[in-house]
Amino acid sequence: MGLASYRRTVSETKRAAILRAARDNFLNGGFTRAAMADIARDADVSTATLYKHFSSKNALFAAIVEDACASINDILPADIANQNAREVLRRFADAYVEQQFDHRMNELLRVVIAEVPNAPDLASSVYANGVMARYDRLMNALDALVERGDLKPHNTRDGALHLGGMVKEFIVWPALFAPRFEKPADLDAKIDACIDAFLKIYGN
Amino acid sequence: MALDTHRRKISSQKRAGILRSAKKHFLKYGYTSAGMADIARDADVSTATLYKHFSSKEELFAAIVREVAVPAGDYSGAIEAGDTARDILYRLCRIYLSIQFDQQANALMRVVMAEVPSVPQLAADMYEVLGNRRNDSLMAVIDEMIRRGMLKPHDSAFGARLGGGMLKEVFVWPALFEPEAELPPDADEKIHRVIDAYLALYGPDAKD
Repeated sequence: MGLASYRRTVSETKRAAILRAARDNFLNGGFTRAAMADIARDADVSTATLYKHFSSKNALFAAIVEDACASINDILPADIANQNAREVLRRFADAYVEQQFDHRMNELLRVVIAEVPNAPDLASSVYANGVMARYDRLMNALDALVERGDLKPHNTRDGALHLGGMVKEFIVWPALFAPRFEKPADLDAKIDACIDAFLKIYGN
Repeated sequence: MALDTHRRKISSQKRAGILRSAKKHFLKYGYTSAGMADIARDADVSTATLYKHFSSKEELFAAIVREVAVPAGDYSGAIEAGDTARDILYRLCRIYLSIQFDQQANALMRVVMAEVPSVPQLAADMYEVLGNRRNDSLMAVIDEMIRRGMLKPHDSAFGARLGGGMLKEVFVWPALFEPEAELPPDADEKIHRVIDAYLALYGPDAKD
């Protein structure tokens, strides 16, 4: 291994450790109380190294959310050519569930919302880059399904919000109000019922 | 005025004043940082009077949530003679949003979310009032609409959650991320698109 690539690996390992430590700190104590020095200590790096990777606490939190959101790219198919509308929507729902639970987005979003009065910029950046960016992908897929004739022409931004709202009612809202909300036992059936409803409203 | 009527009136005025001051303090400082002594001073009562009305901070907060949610439990006036299904659903949406925006339920939700790790009971109580009990009230109106033939027979418990979920996603969710969020200027159009969706699901002309 060359020296440069060795350094890159070390740097990436440190970055991942920082993100893990930061997520734990934010989720345990909230955004305001979490301290950069504690995060550095938990990640076993110097504060200088921490600040080299992330210039501020805001930037660090935003990176955690981006990280959690990035996983959606691995799950979602690039093209929907061989999938019917139901399959496409189901893939979206599955990716969403994975983010909310396995990547702890439910808890991260709760921390962000709780800090709105203290850190409004954090909230607006997470909302734009996390929440709305995910919706853009869904909206693009809905547009493609309309184009293909699987869905009726409709305001796909609202259509995306309607589908998201139905699913979130069962897996996100309860989680915002409970410390350790787990995936409901009838999650699959609930998601299918929401997709049924969506297809009844907007399907052809 | 008889003396005990007079005393009751003073007492209920003080109670209302305490609730107003407490809501202000909780929204401004958050649950943990808000102090009972400061709330009493702001409401111009002694701390003894404050504790006579509300035995703990938790109880005081719960009383605020119950008060905010009062309109959510009372949909008795939601159905008027000559109403179409759309008229009634529109009124339900407006009541729902008025609680969130005018009564500041959005901001109170943020306060309890901040305390989920430390005082989880606070959030559980709020979810019971603003989540479950509100759904029950919506369900009762939907059942009455089904009885009158204005909606197709359907699982109204599930229907209320789908309708509430759509409405929250369009209006409440974005407002949670913004300190002083107000309803958007095109709120009416957005409400009607949610109603369109509900009627496509369960309206008299909905597909089977």
